[in-house]
Amino acid sequence: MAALRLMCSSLLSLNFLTKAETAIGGRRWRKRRWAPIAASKLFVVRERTPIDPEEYEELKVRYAHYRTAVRSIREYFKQELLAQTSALTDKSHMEQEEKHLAQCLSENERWNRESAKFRQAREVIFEKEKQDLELKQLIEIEEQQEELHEKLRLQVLKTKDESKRFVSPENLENMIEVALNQRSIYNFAIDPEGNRFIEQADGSTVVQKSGNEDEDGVHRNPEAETLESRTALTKE
Amino acid sequence: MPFMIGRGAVGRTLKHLQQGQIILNKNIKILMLAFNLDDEATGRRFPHHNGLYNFVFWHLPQLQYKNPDVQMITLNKLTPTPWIKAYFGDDTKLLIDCDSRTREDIHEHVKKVLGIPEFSVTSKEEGIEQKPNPANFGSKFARQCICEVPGQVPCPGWQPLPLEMTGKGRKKLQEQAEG
Repeated sequence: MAALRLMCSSLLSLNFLTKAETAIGGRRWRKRRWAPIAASKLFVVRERTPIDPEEYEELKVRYAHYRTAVRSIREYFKQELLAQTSALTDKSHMEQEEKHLAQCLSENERWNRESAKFRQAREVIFEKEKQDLELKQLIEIEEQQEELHEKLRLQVLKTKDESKRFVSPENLENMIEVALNQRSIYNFAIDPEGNRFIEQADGSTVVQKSGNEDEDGVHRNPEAETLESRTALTKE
Repeated sequence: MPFMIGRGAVGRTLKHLQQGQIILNKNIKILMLAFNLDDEATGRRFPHHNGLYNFVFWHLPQLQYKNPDVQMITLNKLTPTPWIKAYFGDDTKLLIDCDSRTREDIHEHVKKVLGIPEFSVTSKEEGIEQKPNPANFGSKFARQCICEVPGQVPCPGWQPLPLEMTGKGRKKLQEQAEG
């Protein structure tokens, strides 16, 4: 705002522009619309700009030549542009274009058919691979199921087997007797194969070979009490 | 130019853009290109889309440079097959199936089918270099200096200027006129 005002005032101070001619950006000069013209300026009539007649005539001729030239160039450009645009909308041109388009469409159809063949070939391979994968996965699942079943079966058998050695209210007294009478030997030497060497009271050594242990780690010594002999006690 | 790293940098050079061969038919207004990229999250691969992807990577900037008034859109993860679709001004559509096609194949086909026909080509489209303005002078032009032109003032290096054109001459003349 301030810059505009400064500009106006500076232009005015150059003394060749009126206040109206310096109005920039749509702002009327300092005086308002309804403000009256000052008394000193009321009947001011500017003097005519001096025109040198010789210069005027000379310029008139020169301007005429110049304007003719410019007009002719403009007309020429217009005609050229018109020729270009009319060539595009010319009937023969349109026919050519339509023909070309039809050719392009047919060529494209041919290309698309080829592409379709490639796609079908690819999809066949893809489907086969997919089926193979599915089959493989099914087989894997089946195998896993089988493993699980086997594991559970063995578990059940083991439990059944173990249940034979459970202590019941009838067995209780006998099992206590057996437990009290049985002694575990921990005072043995062991070799890398796992064979245990137990020194007897008379100085001899008894060898318990490895691999003769049951699930509890108790050695099944043929001289010691067997499972049958243990259960035989219960029958008594 | 920033980011002069990687294979994409070549595609951002002006030389590469100017070497574009495809100038599209004037009736084409929109060009849509759709392809899928290999999905890292799910591990899905789309080898049959690679041709169109490479075409878009290398040739789309060239295409847009030569045809600035055509709207070009790339779409992703839309359909199982890659395609290009051109929309003409008179509502004609042209669909190009690019399944399992190489970049070169697609380029040739697009040039043939969507390219400007020979009878429509003007010198501007052909990319013929505009003749330089013969009025120009300078280090890159035929005439090095305006003084070479007949009728112009010769350079003072070749021939001294007349007295009234030099500062000291004018001053001297002024002094003479006053004196």
